[in-house]
Amino acid sequence: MTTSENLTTVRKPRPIKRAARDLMALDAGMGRVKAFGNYGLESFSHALLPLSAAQIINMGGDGMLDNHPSIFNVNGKYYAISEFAISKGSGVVRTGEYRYTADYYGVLAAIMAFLTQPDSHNNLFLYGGHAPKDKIYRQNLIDSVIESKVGAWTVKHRGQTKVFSFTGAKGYHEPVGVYRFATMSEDGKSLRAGWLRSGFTAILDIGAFTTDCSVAEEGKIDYDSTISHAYGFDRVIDEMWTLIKHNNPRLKGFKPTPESLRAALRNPAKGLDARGYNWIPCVDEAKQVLGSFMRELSIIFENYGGVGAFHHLLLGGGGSAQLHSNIKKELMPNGTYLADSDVNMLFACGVRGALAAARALDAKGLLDQ
Amino acid sequence: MTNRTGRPRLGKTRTNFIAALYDTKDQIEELNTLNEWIQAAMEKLGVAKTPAFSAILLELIRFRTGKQSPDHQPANPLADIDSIRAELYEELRAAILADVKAMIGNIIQDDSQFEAIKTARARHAEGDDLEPITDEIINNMLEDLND
Repeated sequence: MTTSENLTTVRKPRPIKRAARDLMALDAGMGRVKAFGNYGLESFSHALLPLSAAQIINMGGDGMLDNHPSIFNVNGKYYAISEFAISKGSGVVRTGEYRYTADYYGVLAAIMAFLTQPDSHNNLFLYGGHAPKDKIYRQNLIDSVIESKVGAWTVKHRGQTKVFSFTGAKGYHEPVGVYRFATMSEDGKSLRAGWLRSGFTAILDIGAFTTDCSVAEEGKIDYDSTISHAYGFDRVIDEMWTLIKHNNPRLKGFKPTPESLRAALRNPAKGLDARGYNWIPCVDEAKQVLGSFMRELSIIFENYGGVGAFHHLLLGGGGSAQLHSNIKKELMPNGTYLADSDVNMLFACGVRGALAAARALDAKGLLDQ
Repeated sequence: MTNRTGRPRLGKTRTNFIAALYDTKDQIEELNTLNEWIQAAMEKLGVAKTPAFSAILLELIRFRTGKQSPDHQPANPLADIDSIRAELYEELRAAILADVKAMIGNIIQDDSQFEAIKTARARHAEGDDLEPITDEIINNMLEDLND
């Protein structure tokens, strides 16, 4: 064989050597994005802002952006996340089919892979949560991240570069994650809380923008009963701020952070930290908005069958961390339980439960079915 | 037992001061027993001995014995060490509960909420008897994937 023949020979591409598969559960919640993998939990406030050329120049150019703690370079484009993105004007959270696209959900997944994985990984499996009403967009969710559709993800952040490939992806109902967390061990090898797997259990996952519900019967989820309500805990916060502003005209021009409003709701007697305006007690305002939210929840629960239809009521999601005592008192005095005994971690119980379920299926080789 | 300025000598540490409140050998023995009892009570309550608890102890002994300083001779010294112990235990328990509640006070406003969390925790602990995953549950999880 001559040299020229050698050069024209079409060589078969070398098969990519894949690392052992690693699982990552992602809940791109509208209030907070959470991801849980083998290396732990990461979360940040839900805001993603692709930076324009003008913004990049204003911030001091590429060199400055590469070292910014809230800016990531994903496949060559700069994105700001979290509170920094909010401060730069990213107030819009995408919903419906506009949410499950490569430039939004895919980018969030890539950033979370960067935060949860210690190094590059070419064989990740994404277990992505969605509200029950978004079930029809499951394929969009998968297509927005998977290697065969969008290729690999190169993420640069603070001098580090990592490359990820999602070789598989599936979607799950968010409230189901809450139930799996309460009833499965985190390694996905065993079941726990036998008492919660007997009888009928109503599951309420109270998020920032939605409240998702589901029902489990004898440990099995009835997926047909899984629904979403576009009424979340952030509305309580917004309504409370409206009332506080109305009752305190001197606060005109002041803009509290969502966290300070949440703190005020937790302790209304102490009130809202209004910085230059001192502390504003908000007992009446808190009572009013909580009353209104509880009425909504009562209607949802009654439509589900109410207290007589269930043996247990399981609460998850960040909103239940603040509302659990009201719910226990008003919806189901006996039989209301938190998915996690640590109220500060309730926001992440769904994503942790989802990973447990993914691990259980993966161990049996069923995750790709 | 006064210092050069005539004030009661407090001793190098609080413990010395507490010891100084007791005059007789019998009372010092009682104090040792009381200290041992406090250690045991602390262990029973699952807390470490901290300066705050030493301060509570000091104040309680001052109050119960009526002695404000080692040289002070109260009109009616209280000698019933058992009643001191019983009340001290309750005081400690209340202080510990108050501390715990203060720590999570931002979230938990009243006792009923505190009870609610305790119940959930207890139920969690109760349900932590692990069982193998059944095929029924696996099939149910598969339904989620293919729903």
